[in-house]
Amino acid sequence: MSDSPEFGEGITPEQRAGEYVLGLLRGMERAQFEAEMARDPALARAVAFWEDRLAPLAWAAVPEIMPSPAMWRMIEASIRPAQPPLSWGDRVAALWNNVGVWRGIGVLAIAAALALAIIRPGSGPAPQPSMVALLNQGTKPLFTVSLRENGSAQILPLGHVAPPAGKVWQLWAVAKGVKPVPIGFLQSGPTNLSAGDIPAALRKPGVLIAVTVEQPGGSPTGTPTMPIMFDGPLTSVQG
Amino acid sequence: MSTTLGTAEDVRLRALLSRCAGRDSAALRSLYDLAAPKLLGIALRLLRNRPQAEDVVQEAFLQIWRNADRFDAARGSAMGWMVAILRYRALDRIEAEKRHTGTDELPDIAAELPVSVEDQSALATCLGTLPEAWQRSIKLAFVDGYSHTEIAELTKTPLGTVKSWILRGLASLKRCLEA
Repeated sequence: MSDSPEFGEGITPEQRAGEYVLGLLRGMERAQFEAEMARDPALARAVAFWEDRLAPLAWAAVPEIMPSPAMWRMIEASIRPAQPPLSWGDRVAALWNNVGVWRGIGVLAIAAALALAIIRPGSGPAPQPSMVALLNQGTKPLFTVSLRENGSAQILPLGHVAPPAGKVWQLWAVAKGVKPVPIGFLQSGPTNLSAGDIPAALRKPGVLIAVTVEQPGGSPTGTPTMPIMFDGPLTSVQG
Repeated sequence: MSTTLGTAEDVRLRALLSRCAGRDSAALRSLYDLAAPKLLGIALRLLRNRPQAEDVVQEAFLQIWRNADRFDAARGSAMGWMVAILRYRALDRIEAEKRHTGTDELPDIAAELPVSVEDQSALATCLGTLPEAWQRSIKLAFVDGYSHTEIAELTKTPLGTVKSWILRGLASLKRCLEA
């Protein structure tokens, strides 16, 4: 930050940065300063200095005012993914009410996903799955599930996703009319489930593989404590 | 760079910002619970209009959510970063609406700035070393969002004098804060 004659006679860049942070540069002056700041890291540092040091002046001067509940709802609506997590009841009911629909869509989507999963380099030769599922968030596929004849399963990510910091993804198998059964934890990378993880009674087409966000170690109650983040039904592979 | 707010509180804010950067919306909610009432107070003081103040706080939180990964603790406190985001949004409103034209009600700033426990900051100490008129002009700009011209009208002081008070005040503050 060398001499900057454009700041005017005798005004240092630090002073100009202070005026900017005080809100005293308006209109063109403000726009010009912001353009200058984008080019000059030292000027940006001077601004950060004042932002940090002056903040307590406002913080200490004003009383706290409780926002209306609508304010958070607006923020929440703006940051929410396009498809909100559904409640368990809604999700399961919707799936079983639309068996025909998901079968039709599912087979195409699963064929595409399996093609991806099988050609994934480094995964080695995998036994032919007997059933597959595509775990979707809304319409976005996130993971493929390949269930083998012996009951073991491999779950592979289709992109980079991770659970929120300090939380885990818990996997559930859900059959109609039965409470969800925990079957393990989903990693952001490949996940392998052993033969015993999914009870044999739940290894059949139409059973929903679902994921919830839970505290480390999983749901303390043995049933999901959170809405489904993403899920998909098992479908038979015709072989 | 040392932080200017109670360090423990700022450590909490920073941890929440870092979780926001990891797209944890529960962390945004916690951040909101901790900071929104204060940010709304600041916005209302600047804008004197509740619906506008709520709009600005809402915009600020969306920007905090989007830019949480750009927060750099090495450059200052989390509180300072959030207050700055809020203030620029509020200044956009003030500029867009050419507000603050009715300057007849001059708040008694000095009375509204109690030296609280949290305010035993370097800033409070350094401000206290400035002449009363300089302090007042700086507060009218930062806390109330007044322009040079408005401060000149409010304090019945020539514009050039106000500009000079603020510039000299900033130079003294800078020296004091870095001492």
